[in-house]
Amino acid sequence: MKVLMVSPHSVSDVRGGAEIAASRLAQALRASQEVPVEVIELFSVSRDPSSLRTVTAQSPTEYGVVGGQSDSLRFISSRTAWENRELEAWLRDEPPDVVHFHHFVGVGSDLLPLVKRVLPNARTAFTAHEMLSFCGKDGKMVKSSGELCVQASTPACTRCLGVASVDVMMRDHYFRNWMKLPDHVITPSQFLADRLTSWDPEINPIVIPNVPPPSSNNSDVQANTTTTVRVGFFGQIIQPKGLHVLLEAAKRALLPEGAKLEILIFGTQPDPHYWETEIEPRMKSLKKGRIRARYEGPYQPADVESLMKLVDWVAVPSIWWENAPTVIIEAMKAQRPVLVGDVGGMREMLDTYGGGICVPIGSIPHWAVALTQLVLPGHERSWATLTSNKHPLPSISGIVERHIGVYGARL
Amino acid sequence: MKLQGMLRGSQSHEQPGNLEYLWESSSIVVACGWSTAGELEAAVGIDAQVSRYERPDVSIALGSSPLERVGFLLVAKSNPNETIESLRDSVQKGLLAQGIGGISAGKNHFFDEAGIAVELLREALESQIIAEGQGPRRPQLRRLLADLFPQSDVDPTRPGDLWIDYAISFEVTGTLVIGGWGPRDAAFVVDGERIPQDCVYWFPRPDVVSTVGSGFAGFVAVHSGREDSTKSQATTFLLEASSADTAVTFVPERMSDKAPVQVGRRIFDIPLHSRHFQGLLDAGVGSMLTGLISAEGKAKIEPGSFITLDSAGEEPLISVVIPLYGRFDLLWNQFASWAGSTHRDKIQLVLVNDDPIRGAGVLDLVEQINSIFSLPVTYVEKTENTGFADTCNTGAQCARAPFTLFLNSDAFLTNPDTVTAAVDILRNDDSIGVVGAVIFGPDGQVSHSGMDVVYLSTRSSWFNYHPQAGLNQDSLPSEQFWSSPAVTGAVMLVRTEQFLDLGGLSTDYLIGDYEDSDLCWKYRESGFDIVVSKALASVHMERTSISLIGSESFRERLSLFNSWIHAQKWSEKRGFVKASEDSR
Repeated sequence: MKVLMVSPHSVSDVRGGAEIAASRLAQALRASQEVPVEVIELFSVSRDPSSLRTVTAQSPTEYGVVGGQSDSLRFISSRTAWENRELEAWLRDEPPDVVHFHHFVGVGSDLLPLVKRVLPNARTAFTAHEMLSFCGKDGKMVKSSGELCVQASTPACTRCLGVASVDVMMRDHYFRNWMKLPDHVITPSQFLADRLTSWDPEINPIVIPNVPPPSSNNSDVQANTTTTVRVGFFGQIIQPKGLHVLLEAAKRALLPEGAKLEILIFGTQPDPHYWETEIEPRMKSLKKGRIRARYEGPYQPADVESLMKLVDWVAVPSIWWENAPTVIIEAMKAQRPVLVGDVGGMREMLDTYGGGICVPIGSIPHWAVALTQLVLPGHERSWATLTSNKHPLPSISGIVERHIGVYGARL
Repeated sequence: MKLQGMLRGSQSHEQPGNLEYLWESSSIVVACGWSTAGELEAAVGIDAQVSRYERPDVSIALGSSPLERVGFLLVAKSNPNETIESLRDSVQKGLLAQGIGGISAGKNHFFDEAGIAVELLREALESQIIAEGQGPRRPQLRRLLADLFPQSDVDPTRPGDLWIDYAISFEVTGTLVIGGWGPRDAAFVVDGERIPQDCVYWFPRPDVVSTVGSGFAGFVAVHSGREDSTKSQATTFLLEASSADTAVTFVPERMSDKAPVQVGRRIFDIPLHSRHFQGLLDAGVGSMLTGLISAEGKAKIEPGSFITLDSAGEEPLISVVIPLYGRFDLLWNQFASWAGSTHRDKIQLVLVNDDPIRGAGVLDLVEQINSIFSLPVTYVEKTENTGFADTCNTGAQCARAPFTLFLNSDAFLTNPDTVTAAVDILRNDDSIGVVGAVIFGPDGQVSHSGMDVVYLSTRSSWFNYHPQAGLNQDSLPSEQFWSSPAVTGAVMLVRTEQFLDLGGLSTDYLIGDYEDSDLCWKYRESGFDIVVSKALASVHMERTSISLIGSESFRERLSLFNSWIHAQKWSEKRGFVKASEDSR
C-alpha cells in the first residue's frame, strides 16, 4: 500500500500539531508489521525563484509542493494553472493508493479536489486538527473578544471577523462542499468530532487518536521531594497556547516559605510580536526571587521526553478549546502530570487518560492558585497519585491498525 | 451617491474641503466651495475676503451639524503688479495647501472694475452655486452678499421668485433637465421655446414654502430636442407666472449622454423623494433614458474574447450561463458545486465576464480553477459592461446545449444532480417555456418561489413581488412544479433555441432588473407557461455584487426606473393584472 501523507509544512520547519501528527503517523506506518506500507510525505514549500519545479524532492520520501495563498477566504493555494498541471502529472506518475490530508492550509484546500479528480481510485482521508472549516478565526472558535465561541453562525461570524456577511456565507458554502470530498474524515478527539457534526450533521467523523511518541524507558517515576517545583511549557509560543496566562499566574502565585517555583519554557517563537509584548516583559519580572521563568529554546520532537523529565509538571495553558494536544500525550508518555485548561480536547484527554488537573481556561487567578498548590507541602503525594492513576494510553500499533483499516475500507 | 455627488471634483474624500467654482475678472478672483478649516483667510495665505455660510448638504454628508458654516466665498483682488493669472494660481495653491482641491479651471468674465465682485457673485449665486439643493437658502446668500459688499445694491430681504437647483444639459439628445422651485403651475420658456405642461412635473416643497411663502412648489422641467446645445453655454430660463415674470440666465451642467448608465447615475442623483420619481420619468426623462438604452450597441463577441478551456467529450445537455460581475472568487464555489455532480460531463459552463475593467485577470483565475476541476468551460470576455440581460444573451449565443440554465454567480443548486429533472419538465411539455427555481436564502427560508406583480400606490408603480419570500419550506406547494406569472432570472432554465428565437432577455432595462419578468411576459404572450420547480432548488447569497453597482439610493431609483419601463411595456397587455390576481 502506498500512502501519500499530506501536511501543511515540514515538521522540521514548523512543529505544529498537524505536522507532528502527520510525521509520527508516517513513521508508524512505515514501521508497521501488519501490512507493508510505503509512505511519501508531501508538504508545502515556498516558491523558489530559481526553480521552475512545482514539486521538488526534499529527501527520498519527502516532497515539497509550491503552496502560498491566493484566496484567504477559502485557503486556496497560489499555484497557477501551469503549476497545477505539473502537480497533476506528479500525482499520476506513481499514483498512491491512499492520500491522507492533515489540515488544508499550506498546501491549499484546492489540492484535495485536484486529487479527487486526478486519482479517482485513490482513497482519501482528512484529519481535522482544528475547526478551520467552520471558524474563520484561525479555526480556534475564540471570538475577537477572547470569549470562547460555541456555535458558528453567519451573523456572529460576520461580527467576529469584521468581514461582509457574504464572505462568511461563501466560506461556509465552500467548506461544506469541501468536507464532502474525502472518503473519510478523521478527528483525533471526540470533542472535535462533535463540533464537526454540530456544524454539518452530514459529516460522519471517525475518532482516531494521534500517534503518540515512541515508548522509552519509563523507570524514572520518582517524585521530586525538594522544595523547588519545576513546571514546563512545551510547544509553539503563540498567543492561543496561553503562555502569557501561565507567566502572569506565576507572578501572582503565593509560595509557602522556602518553596521555589521555576517555569521552564521550551519551544519555537513563530510570533515575534507576541513574544516581545506578552512574554518578554513577564519573563523579565520573573528573573529573580523564588518564582522564576527561563526560556530554554526550541527542541526536536525526539528529545521531548527527556526534556519533560527535567520538569515535574507540564502546563498546557491554552486559551482555546484545543483538539488533542500532542504535548499532553507526550507528557503522559514521560510520566509527568499535566495542568490543562478545562475545556474541549484538553479536558477530554484528561477525562480519558487521567494524569492531570483541569484549571479554568484563561483564568489567571485560578492558574495562580493551581501553581501555588503544586508547591504546598505534600505536593509530591499529589504528583505520585496523578502519575500512577492513569488509564492506558493508545498504542501506536493500535492507531496504525485503525488507519490501515480506514485506508483499506471500501466505500 | 449623495455624498459622491456633493464631493464631485474632490481629490480625496478625506480632504477637508472642496473648491467648486472659480471665477476671475481682469482684477478679481472669486472662489466658492466648502471647507472644514476654521480660519480660511489666514490659512490660504493671501489677502482675500472670505465669508462663510451654512452648507447643510455638505454638513449632513460629513456628519456634522447642518448649522456649521462650512461653505465659503472667497474674493481676492489683484495688486497693480500682479496678473490675474498669478492671483488665480495663488488662490488655488493656497486653497490646495489647505486640502481644498477640486476644479482646476474657472470661467472668464470681463466686467469693469466697478461692481465686478457683485456681478460675479450675483451670477454665481443665481446660476450654479445654488446647485446641490441650496435654492431655499437664497435669502441667506443675499444677506451674505450684502455683508461682503455693503456699497452694492443687493437687497438682502427680497425673496426669490424662481430658483434653479440644477440644470443638466445632455449633449447628444439635446435634452435639458431643470429642477428648482417657483410659483406653482407657472409656465416655462427656455431660450424662447415653451416647455409643454406635460413635460413639467410639480411637487410639494415644504422647505421652500417655509422660506418664501405659500404658492410655491418644486418642479422638474424637461426640455427635449434642443437644436444644438453645444452652441451656447448660457441658457435663459423664463418663468411666466401670474404674479410676475422672472428670467434667469444660467449655465447648465453639461453631460455626455452616450452611456445610459452614466446618465442614469446623474439623473437618479437628482434630489427628489422617491414618490415623485415617477413624475420625473413621466415628464420626459424616462423616455430619454429608454431611448439612450435602445440606441446603445449590444456587446459583440470579438475575436479572442471567446475561449474554450476544456471541451466536453460529448455534446452537453445543459449550458450553464453564469454572468460575472465583481465577485469573481465565487467561481471557486460554482466550480466546486458542479464538479461534485454526477452530471458534470453533461454540462457546459459558459462564463461571461461583464466587468472587463475589474475583471482583467479573470481568465487566469478561471484557468487556475479549472486546472483543479477540469469542467467543460467556455469563457467569454466582453469588452465593455453592458448589463445582466445582454450578458445572459451573449452567454446563450455561446451555448452548445439544447437547454440553457441561467445561474447567478452567487446562486447554487442545492443538488446539481436534479437539474435533469427540470430538463424533463421542458422535454415532456411543449407548452412550458421557462422553468424557474425555488430559491432559499442562506438562512434556509424561501426567498423566491415565483413572482407576481403588485401596484404600489406610494411609489405609483408596478413592482415584482415574491409571494412566499421569508416563509419556511413548509409553505411551498406539495407539487414538484407549479405555474407562476413570472420567475427570477437568478436561476432559470429555458430551451436555448427558443430563448434566442424570442429575442432573449430584453435589453431595454438599465443594468439589470425586471428583464426576467419581462422575458416571462414575452413567453406568456407567445402562448407558453412559466413554472417553478423544486428540481432547481437553490441557495442564493443575494446581492453579493449589488453594492458595486452603486449606493442604496441609486439602486432604489434604478429599480423605480426599471419598474416604470416594465409597466410601460406590459401593464396594458391582456392578462398582466389578471395573472397576478389568479396567482393569489
